[in-house]
Amino acid sequence: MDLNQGAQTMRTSRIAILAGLGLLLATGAAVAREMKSYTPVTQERLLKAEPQDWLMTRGRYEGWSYSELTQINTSNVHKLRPVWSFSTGVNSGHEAPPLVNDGVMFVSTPNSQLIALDARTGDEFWRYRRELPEGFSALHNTNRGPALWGDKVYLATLDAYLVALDAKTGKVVWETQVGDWRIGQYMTIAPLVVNGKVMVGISGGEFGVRGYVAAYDAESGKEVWRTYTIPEPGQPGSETWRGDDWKRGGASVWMPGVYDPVTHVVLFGTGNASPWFGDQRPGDNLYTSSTIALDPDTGKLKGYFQYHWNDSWDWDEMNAPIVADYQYKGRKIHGLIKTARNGYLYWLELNKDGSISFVDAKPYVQQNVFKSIDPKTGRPEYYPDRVPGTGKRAEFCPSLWGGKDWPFDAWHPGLGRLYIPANDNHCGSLEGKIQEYVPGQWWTGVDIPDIGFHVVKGAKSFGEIQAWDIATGEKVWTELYPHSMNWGSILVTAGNLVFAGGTNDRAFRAYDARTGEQLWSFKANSGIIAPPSTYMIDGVQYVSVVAGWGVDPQFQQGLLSNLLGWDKSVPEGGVVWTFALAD
Amino acid sequence: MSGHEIPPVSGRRQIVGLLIRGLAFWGWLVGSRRRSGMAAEDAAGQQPQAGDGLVYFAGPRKNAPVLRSELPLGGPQHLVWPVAPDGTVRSANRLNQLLVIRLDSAAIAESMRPFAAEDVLCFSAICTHECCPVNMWKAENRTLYCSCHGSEYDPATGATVVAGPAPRRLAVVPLQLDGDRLVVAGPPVGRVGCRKV
Repeated sequence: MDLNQGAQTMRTSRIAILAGLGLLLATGAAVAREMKSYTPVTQERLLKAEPQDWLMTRGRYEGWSYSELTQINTSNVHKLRPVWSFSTGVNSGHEAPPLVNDGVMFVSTPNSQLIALDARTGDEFWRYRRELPEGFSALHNTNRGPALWGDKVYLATLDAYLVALDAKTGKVVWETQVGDWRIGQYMTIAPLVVNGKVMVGISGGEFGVRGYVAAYDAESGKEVWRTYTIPEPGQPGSETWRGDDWKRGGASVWMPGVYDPVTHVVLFGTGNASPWFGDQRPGDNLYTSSTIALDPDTGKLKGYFQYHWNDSWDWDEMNAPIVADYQYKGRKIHGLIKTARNGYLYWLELNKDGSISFVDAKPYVQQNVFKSIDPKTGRPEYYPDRVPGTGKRAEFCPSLWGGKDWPFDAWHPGLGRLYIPANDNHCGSLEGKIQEYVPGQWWTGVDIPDIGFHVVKGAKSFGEIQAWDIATGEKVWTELYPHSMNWGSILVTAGNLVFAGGTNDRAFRAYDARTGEQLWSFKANSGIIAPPSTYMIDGVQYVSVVAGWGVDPQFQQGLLSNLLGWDKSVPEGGVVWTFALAD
Repeated sequence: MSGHEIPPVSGRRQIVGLLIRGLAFWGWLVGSRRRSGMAAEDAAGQQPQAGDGLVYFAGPRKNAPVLRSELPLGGPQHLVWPVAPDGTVRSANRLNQLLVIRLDSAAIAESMRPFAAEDVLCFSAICTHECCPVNMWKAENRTLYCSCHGSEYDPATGATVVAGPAPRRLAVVPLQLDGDRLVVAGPPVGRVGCRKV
């Protein structure tokens, strides 16, 4: 071969390679599945919450995390097998359930990605990748899921934008700035859509934000209303704040809201007060660590319940409660059930005007802060030596992660039972200092290395699933995890199955909802901290969940590794797992 | 074979490899031109350079020059910004945020001494995990601590990772002294920032 021939061959090869690459790209484009049809999501469909779909994070407006499907049940769950899996290509904590609409699945990942899949096969239709600004960072990089409405899918992004995508193509239809990440505002929340208004809240309780819920027109992206979770001077509740403390008082909104069609209110949970130490912002500090009820049309505050006043423990009450009709001690109640981070389980009444009344509360884990609870108002009295302050260290149980952190509890209306992913036998200690406020910087009054965390001496277990009979107020069974905390949201079905991950051993389990007996388990690639969902396609019931360990469970695992010798290295990596019964 | 050696490949694979590298280089070139073009418009966004001073990021001496003698010996670190000789604080890009720490000279690893201004070391304050600020000090371990996910870096050994999820050490910024004033002696050594996803 002479040089010219070589050059010619080289040129030919290059052309061939370029043509090959072009073909590859063209073929790739042809292979990428096209979504041929998409069933629009209407208000009627959201209200019906038909069991073949899983249209919102907690399955239905009332936040039950419950499915009426019974094909998979206690007698056959042992035959449950994975039918497909899909790697998200993303590390860190995956905290979003797969949403499914007429066979199309939507999964959001950390760092604001959204993937549309064929729920039958796990084949990808499209993927949206948020291009985060250079130098961007967020305390929690996770996402709690998208929301569906019409022919669009909505994602709240880390850099505080609400993005509407065409559900069929993944193309951006509009995006609207909600907050400013440079001052510590960011979003991990799953939006809630009611009557064409897309509602989101802002995170940033460790950065001195003033929380809010805002609603956007689903078609145009225009802001319709914005309600701050802390009143400004002159508004009701402003008397619970001193001076300008309200401006940076926290009450962030970082978990999805629920909707009660009966009273036509949306309910959101609010986060910790800011900074963390109550003596730096004297007063009750409304509406921190509360449930707030808003008119979805106007954003007007209709009611609230504050679980603990002048929070000093970083006990956010960010999860919206479960809305249900239930009996309690012989009384019929249209009400709320709330497993609070402060370690108490609350029975509340949701009145016709949207106001909230206290019914009862009981501790579900060891809690050594409340001396008593007023039986009429639910207002707790504290043991003074359990209240951390500036220059005053106090020890308290449960630790700042609470009896239950953000994972969802679940309500089985047929059995009248509530299922709680709880954590017991862990305590914290805090001592505050005055920190300079710098926009966008950590501003809690304590640096993380100075946060005390310990376990109760001699404790035999930590993570738990608790089943409560809501009518009697009694715990009926408990599953104990001796070597793990529990960060797993619960899914309960009419097949009387409780599905949950949440442990550091990567297990995904099914229990008998009546007895707590474990009936099935599967080892995933990574720890599961995302909520499971279930749906039906062509007569087959599927259960899906995303594995992907990270964020707070990973950090806490590091602490427990130091305290108890647990293995620090729970593997990372997002994978969607989908299960069905073997033939 | 060390991890850095490239294994032999077939001719076709070499060509594909060259092509891909060529495309990657072209992409990088275009990207870097865009980046430098943008930066040239705004000195406040440019990365720290030789001759830059340092000013405090926050606190009672915010924007004042950082003097070696006033830094606490043995930590904690202070967050700072580089400041151009014309007084432009390079704060337009968060990735320019730096930290300085004064250590017992004897504790500084031999390999880090060329970067130190006597006993003071300067690192990027951007965690290599998720780009959060390395703005806390874990006194019991004498480590630089990231406030998002608990990564810990040992400043004495060049901000190597000793705990947490960070994949690599912090970039180091060479320092020198102008009297008592800390001055940047060169651009960052190592990768600044994080790789998301």
